[in-house]
Formats: sequence, C-alpha cells, structure tokens
Amino acid sequence: MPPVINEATCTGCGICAHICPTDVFNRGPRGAIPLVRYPDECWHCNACLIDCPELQFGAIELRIPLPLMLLHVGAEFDAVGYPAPRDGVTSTASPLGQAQPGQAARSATPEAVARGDGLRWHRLPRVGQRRSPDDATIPLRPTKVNGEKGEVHHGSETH
Amino acid sequence: MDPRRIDCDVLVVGGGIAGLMAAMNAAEHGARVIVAEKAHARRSGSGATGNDHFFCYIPEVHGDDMSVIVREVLDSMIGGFHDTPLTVKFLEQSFDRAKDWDQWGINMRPTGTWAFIGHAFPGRPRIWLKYAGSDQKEVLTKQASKRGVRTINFLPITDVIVEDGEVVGAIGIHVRKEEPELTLIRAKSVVLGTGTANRLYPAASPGFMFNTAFCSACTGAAQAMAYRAGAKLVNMEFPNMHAGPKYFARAGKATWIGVVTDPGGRPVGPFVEKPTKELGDITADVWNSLFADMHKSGRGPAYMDCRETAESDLEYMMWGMKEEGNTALIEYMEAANIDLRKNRVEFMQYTPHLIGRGVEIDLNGESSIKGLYAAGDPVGNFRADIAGAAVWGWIAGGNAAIRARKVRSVGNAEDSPLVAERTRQFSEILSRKNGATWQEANFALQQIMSDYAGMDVRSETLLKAGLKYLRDLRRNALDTLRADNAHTLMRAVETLDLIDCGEAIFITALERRETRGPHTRSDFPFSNPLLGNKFLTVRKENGGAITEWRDKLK
Ligand SMILES: Cc1cc2nc3c(=O)[nH]c(=O)nc-3n(C[C@H](O)[C@H](O)[C@H](O)COP(=O)(O)OP(=O)(O)OC[C@H]3O[C@@H](n4cnc5c(N)ncnc54)[C@H](O)[C@@H]3O)c2cc1C
Ligand code: SF4
Ligand code: SF4
Repeated sequence: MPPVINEATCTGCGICAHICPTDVFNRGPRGAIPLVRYPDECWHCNACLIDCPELQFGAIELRIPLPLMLLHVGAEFDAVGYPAPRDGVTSTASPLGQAQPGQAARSATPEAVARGDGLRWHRLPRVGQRRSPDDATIPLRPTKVNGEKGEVHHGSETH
Repeated sequence: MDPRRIDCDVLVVGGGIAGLMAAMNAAEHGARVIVAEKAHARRSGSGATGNDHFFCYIPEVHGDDMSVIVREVLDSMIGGFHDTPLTVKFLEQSFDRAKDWDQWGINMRPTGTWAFIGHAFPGRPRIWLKYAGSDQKEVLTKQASKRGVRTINFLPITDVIVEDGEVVGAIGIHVRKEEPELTLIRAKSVVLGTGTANRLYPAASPGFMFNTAFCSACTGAAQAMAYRAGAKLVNMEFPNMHAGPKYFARAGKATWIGVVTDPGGRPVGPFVEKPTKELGDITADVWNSLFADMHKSGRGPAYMDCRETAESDLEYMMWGMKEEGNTALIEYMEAANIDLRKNRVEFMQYTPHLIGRGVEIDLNGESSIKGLYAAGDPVGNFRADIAGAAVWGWIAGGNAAIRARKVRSVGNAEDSPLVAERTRQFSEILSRKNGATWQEANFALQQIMSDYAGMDVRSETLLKAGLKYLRDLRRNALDTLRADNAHTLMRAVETLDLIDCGEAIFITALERRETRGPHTRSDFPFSNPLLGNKFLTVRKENGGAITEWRDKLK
C-alpha cells in the first residue's frame, strides 16, 4: 500500500529503506529492490520520495489510503451550507485525479507529470536548490550544495 | 540473547532535533558521545522532512525588554505548563541556536531578514521566526558527525539503568537486521530525546494506527523509561490535542493561511475575516476544541477556508508547507484536484498525544535521577517544539558532558538485574509460537485510554476502572505477546512503553480532583483555585507510584 516501488526504474540503492522514520521497508542486501513490508505502518511523511534519486523516473510513489482522503467542499456548498439539490453528497473528494466540473485538471495526466506540472512544490528543491514561491520578492541567500544528491551516510554507522 | 557492549561518556537516546543538538554540545565539551537512534537520524522523528516556525527571542527585533515576550509565552496555550525559569533560560539562548543553525546552512532567514510572520494575535508581539527547515536533519546530522559524534542508527533504547540513584547505562535492541541484537551501553550520563508519545489514543481514522500528526515512531520511550527508573514525570494528567485536516493527521496548522468557517462560510472566530500571511486565523489556538465542539453541537463541519487569501499569500503558504515537510499533503491535494482558491478543507481535532507532558527537568536539563537528562517534546515542565528541542537539547548535552567529566569510571551496568529481566522478557516474546501481536496490544491500549482517560469525560469511577483494565492489559501482554523478528519486537516494546505512559496518565488524572483546561472531571466540574499554580508529579518507588504536588516555579 502506501509507498509503491516501480521495479522498472528503481535501482535498488536502498536509500528509501534506510531513511524511513517508521521502518516500513525491508532493508535487503545492497542492490536489491526494497520490499514494502509493513505498509500499514507508513506515516505518509514523503521522506522516501524526497530522497529517492530516481524519483523523476517514477521509481517510487505514495498512495494515500482511502480513509485518509481529504474531505473538502466547493462552490456547490457555498452560502447555503448544504449540498445543491441534485448532488446528494457533501464531499467532492476524488482522490485520484478526475477533474471536478469547472476545474482544470492540473496535474493528473502523465503528460503533465512528464512536464513537471503539479510537481512544483517539492520535487525539485533540495539542498543548494532552494526555491521560494516568488524569487523576486523573497530573495534567498545562496547556499552551498551539501554532498551528493540522495547520499546516505553510512559512515557514522557502527557496522 | 547475549548483549553486545558499548562504552561512552554521554549516551543520547534519539537522533531527533533535541538529541542531535545535545550530542553536538556534549562533543564540544570533549565527551565521547553516542547517539542511539531508532530509525535513521537523517530523516527520523517529527522534524524529519522539515519545520517552518522557530520560537525565538531576538532583542534587535523584539526590543531589550524580554519580559514582554516571557508574558506572551506564558499567556499562550503552552505557557500554562511551564516552570517560568525554564522559559526565561530558553528565551535567553534561543537566538544563539537560531544563529548556529543559520550558519550551518539551515535557512533561518528565507526572506533575507529575521522575520516573524504569522502565528500571532492581532496587535501582539510575534514570537515565531519563519524559517525554511526542509533539510534541517541533513544539516544537523552532518554537523554532528563533524564534531565526532558517533551515531548508531536502528538502535532503539528500551531502558535506562540506574544504580544507587545514578544513571550507569542503557539497554537497546539493534534492529538493523532481521534478528534483533540486545545491546548494553555503559554511560556516565544519558540524555533522553525520544520525541512525543503517539499511538496512545486512537488515530485520526480507524484502523490506521500510524495516521498521526507527529511521528508515529515516537512512542513515549523517554517518559516510560524515566518513569520505570524512578524519575519524576509532570503534567501527565493534561491531554494535549492538535487540530488539522480531517482524517489525514498532519501537524502544522499554523502554516495554513485561512479563516475557520462554518458550513455557511461564516468565520467562526473574531480575529480575522481576510487572512494574510502576517495574520492567519488564531481562533483554533485559543479555542482548542473548536472543531470537536462544532461537530458535536451539530453546527459543523468547520472548514479551513483559504478562499479570501490573496494569491501571493497562498503561494507563500504552499512554500511554507513544503518547508515544514508537508509535501505529501500538497501532492495529495494536487492529485485530488483540491484547489484551495475554491475548496474548503474540513479540519478536525486529533486525539491526545504527549508533548510537553513528561520528564520533569531542572535548569540543567537534568531529571530527578542524577545523570539522567531529557530534552525536547518529552519534557513535562517546558515546551516550545522545534526551538525548545534545539535549545534545551543543547543545554542538556553540555551539562551531561560536564557531569560525565566528574564521574571517574563507568558503572557496572551489566550487573543490573534489569538486564537479566529484560533479556528474559524479550526472549520469551521472541520464542512464543502463538500469542498476541503488538497491534492487538496497541489497539487494546487505545480503546482503554479513550474510554477511561479520554478528553470528554473523566471521573473517579471511570479512571479507577480504566487503571485496573490497563494493568490487566499489561499483564496479559507480557504473558502473551509474540514477535517474530527485530521489527515486531521493537513494536512490542513500544507498546509496553505506551502502557506505562498510560498508567502515569491514569494515576495523575485521578489525583487532580478538579477540571482544568482539557482535563475534564465530571465529578469535580470546577477549577479549584488552590490548585491553579500547582504542578502534579508522579514517580515510581518500590513498585508503587507516588504522586506529589508542588508549586509551579514563577
Ligand atoms: C509536519 C510537522 C510540522 C511541524 N512544524 C513545526 C513548526 O513549524 N515549528 C515547531 O516548533 N514545531 C513543529 N513541529 C513539531 C516539531 O517537529 C517537534 O516538536 C520537534 O521535532 C521535537 O524535537 P524532539 O527532538 O523532541 O523530537 P523528534 O525530532 O521527534 O526526535 C525524536 C527522535 O527519537 C527517536 N526515537 C524514538 N524512540 C526512540 C528510542 N526508544 N530509542 C532511540 N530513538 C528513539 C525518533 O526516531 C526520533 O528520531 C512539526 C511537526 C510535524 C510533524
Ligand atoms: S512516506 Fe515516510 S513513513 Fe511512509 S514509507 Fe515513505 S519514508 Fe516511510
Ligand atoms: S530510493 Fe528510489 S531508487 Fe533507491 S531503492 Fe528506493 S525506490 Fe529504488
């Protein structure tokens, strides 16, 4: 369930399995594709995606389980505070990307993902690549790049 | 299970924010330091993927009169649980830690200046420095290893060992591999920095136990270990509840720039109608149970409403959410076409967890046991989240090292009867073929906590019954728990820790015979002025629990 690994593009670097705060993965031998062994114990923190060096090739994604869907309401709910007559439901949650009427689908198509639309908030910025929403009004100080992307520091381990 | 042995001057339990800061300062004092971290320190704990507000006093921004800021803290939701001298010491050192972080490469001035934005009442001083912390753990772990700190990842600590009232070491289970390895650490001082206690009460959605606002691998180890070792816990009777998106438990409410509105779109509180990044809606901070109250009264649901928020402020908010580590939420909203310009998101009140409830510390960060220190979320008489962990971690680590210098040799931790007892217990859990899973025990605990020491009603009869059931559960769990590898043994031990935290809650909730804040006693439905300035502590002695009242320090 929660993290889903794509065996075609995962290189088996093991970073996700090492850094997961709740020990969701099986840490197999070096080079092996990690097994999502304890999916019920995912905290949905996204750390495994943020640190995956192959994320842009879709090596790992996070599937949010249905009970965690965000309950939200749109225009049909306004002013009156209850659903429009023909609707009959109070939530328009559509967890996997079908656009609601009157809304442009912003990110769910594969083309959009390939272009990087909808990924703008977190996929790119890492140490040394900070971005603010408006670089013109929020000047960021230059920062140094701390080490290789996605590097795991085994150095401080005991073994 | 035959234990592996490691020696050090200072053992830091938990490689979170407080733990890493403690380790660094201990190392700067010349101590040999080991950090034992349950997961991997680079991404562990509640600060794993970032934070964006750092509680801080900066004279050049706030003016030289610190008492104004002290008052602001004490008036806030967290202030009621502070010993004021700890607040003062924290504020005095908070800017130094912010400057350290800034220099190490954590972006403490994303706008170019020291900027206090949001999270405030109209017209009052702002005390939350807005920063960009998404890579804070990467920076802190690097700084720690630069100072010679040795981090052992995948080593959850289960017990501190105390001899004649002084700490001599700790027990851990190495869980890196399939087979657990018992590990014995001999240390002159121990700093506990294991974060909050989650999974004590039912999660935001049934069946998804790890759906918690704070890191679900933080399970009250510091409180439980300290309690079993005889240290005092304080303020345990007060439940602490966060609010956030319904069913998708996330911390970071203060980063949302919106107004809480009722179903008809009317603001629920008096503070703002058109939210800005300078001033979000602080209603839910003042009226802690807003979302639950609205729902129960039938006037709900209540929504986080960002429709009046200016486009530039919305962008700023999303950037803040990224920096505080809430990228899973952002991505989910994008995939589900939730557009905050048009859609309102329902919020809820989450069930209690232990933050700012736990180990009582003094001005050195030391508990009532010599050589045993605590910092960050598991401290009971102070709380300031990320900054609290940074500042008090630093203080505790320095003092732990100073103490270690005075202790001539490490004690004989291996001779403690506790080592033999835990070895036997863990071996039994591992060798049972049939029995209860840790999940059974954890769910059983959650139902007892919510029904008998819950947020809605507490009374002598309910609490007494609940305490009896809890102790039965502990006995049954010890007799029947089974685990088949290192991971499930770790979860079993976490559950036992949580049961001990639960016991301390029941005992103190029974003793506080009044209603105060979220501690609601139906048999004492009033606040007793004589108890207003009193803190209640609990500690173990010869197997029994002792509660004591003391004045809150002014
Ligand atoms: C999404 C989110 C946003 C937040 N935003 C803010 C914010 O903007 N401002 C703010 O002030 N606060 C914020 N917080 C809270 C803040 O992150 C915590 O208060 C802070 O991390 C506390 O630091 P700590 O060191 O006490 O605990 P943690 O950082 O949680 O560290 C505890 C560590 O102990 C480890 N551990 C647990 N048990 C054991 C054991 N038995 N043995 C060994 N290791 C163990 C854990 O794996 C973890 O690494 C936020 C929290 C979340 C989840
Ligand atoms: S989202 Fe977080 S908790 Fe879940 S598997 Fe990834 S790193 Fe682990
Ligand atoms: S981090 Fe990415 S590439 Fe590496 S093992 Fe995990 S999914 Fe595969």
